[in-house]
Amino acid sequence: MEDQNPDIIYLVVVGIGAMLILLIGFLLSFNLSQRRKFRYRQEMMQLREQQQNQLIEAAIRGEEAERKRVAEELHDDVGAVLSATKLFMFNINTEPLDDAGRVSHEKCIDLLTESISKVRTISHNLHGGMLHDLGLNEAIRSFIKKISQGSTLATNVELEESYDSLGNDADIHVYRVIQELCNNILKHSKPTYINLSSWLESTRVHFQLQYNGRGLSQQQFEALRYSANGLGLKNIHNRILLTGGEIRFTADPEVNTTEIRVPVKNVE
Amino acid sequence: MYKEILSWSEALIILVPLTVYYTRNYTERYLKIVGWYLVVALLLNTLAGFIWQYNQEFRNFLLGYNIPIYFARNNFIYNIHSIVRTAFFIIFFHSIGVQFKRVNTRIPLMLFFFSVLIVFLFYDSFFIISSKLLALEGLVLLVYCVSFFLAKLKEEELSLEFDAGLVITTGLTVYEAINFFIFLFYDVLIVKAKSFAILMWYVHNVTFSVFCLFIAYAFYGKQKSVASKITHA
Repeated sequence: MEDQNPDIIYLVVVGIGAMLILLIGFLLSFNLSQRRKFRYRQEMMQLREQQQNQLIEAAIRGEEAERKRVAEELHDDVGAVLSATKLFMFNINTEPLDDAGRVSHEKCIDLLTESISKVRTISHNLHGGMLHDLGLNEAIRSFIKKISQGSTLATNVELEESYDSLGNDADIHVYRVIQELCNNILKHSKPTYINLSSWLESTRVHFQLQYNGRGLSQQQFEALRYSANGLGLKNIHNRILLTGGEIRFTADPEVNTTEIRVPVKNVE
Repeated sequence: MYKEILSWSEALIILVPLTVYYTRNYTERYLKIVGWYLVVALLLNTLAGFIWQYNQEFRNFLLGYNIPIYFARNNFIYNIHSIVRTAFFIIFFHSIGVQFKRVNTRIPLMLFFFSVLIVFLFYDSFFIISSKLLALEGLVLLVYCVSFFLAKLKEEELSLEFDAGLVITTGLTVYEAINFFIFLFYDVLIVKAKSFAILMWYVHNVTFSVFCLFIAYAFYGKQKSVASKITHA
């Protein structure tokens, strides 16, 4: 070590030390800044998602309120007027009428009865009153029974009974989604049967809708819900989003399946 | 024994990133450039190692063929390695960073080669490790590294994907920052503090190994991120 010049060694060691401190400081501040940027982006994304969900929720609440208002007006106003008309029709003295007049009178009463029944059905479908009174499962059963009445469509419903409700708004969302799905199936698939089953898996309820005829695949669903004609599918997606659940479509020539998974809050 | 290990480490360590590199075909141009640099660096460092290890035999071999004896010292290989490293990493930065893509790669390369020419024509011998060349390398690449980090800081989009370029640049920054002062004063050190200069050369070898491990990690991380993308697709 006799050949060593301490000045130059000192200079190099200090230089390396300074560079090391600079390097560590620079890398640390770079890392910190990137983390801060990442956190900020995440917060912004969460905020955007939250705002989007709030907008969807407001739109759906508005839609539900409007359905309720239309249902109540149909039931209380139109229904009451039709019932009163029917009553007045019964009070008409048909004795002075000829045969053709009596047939027309009876036909009027039949048509009025049918109208009252249809108004009641539409009103109940829109209002979802059964959902509040008897719960989700009964409302679904009643709806499926109604769509199969007077047609050759075979239906089968097997629902999980170990929970009362999926949550405050989740019931109405699931009910509307099943309504929309069934209406779509009837409209586009021309099925001969629809099977609906549900089961509980941990904290999630699975609803499985199986039907034959023309099916809808997940890819078609994703493509259609962005198109102008896919308003119903967009609605389904939004409602599922609000429940915190998910939906899967599988199209198969044998049997088409639509599966909904929704978190349940009140498991017995 | 440990001196031999340290001396050969700068050649052997290159095999680590090179092995990771050849386990997969990378399509990114900047990774291919690093891959090619590693191949050239392996050849140069292996040759330097052989000249150091079998110096006497090499001298006899050169004398037998009337080749100048300057080639019996491996110093010129470190000069070549420095030029190669700078050139490869200038191309690397121009193919990775948006901020460098606007400038034609040939311009900084030409400027660098011109500076190298000036160093060897007027100041240093090509057959002795050139402090000026190595310090120039450190300066050029550190400027590129800092520009790269600053550009990353300015980027609006923050990708969650593994950034192999960032890892390689971090490794290069560590290597160049630590070695800058060693390179800058190397010719003075070799005259005024020879033992310390030799010790510093071992420090250089260790930092070069760290740099190679950073490159290996960059290749490995890129491979993993591509694999996870394929699994999730």
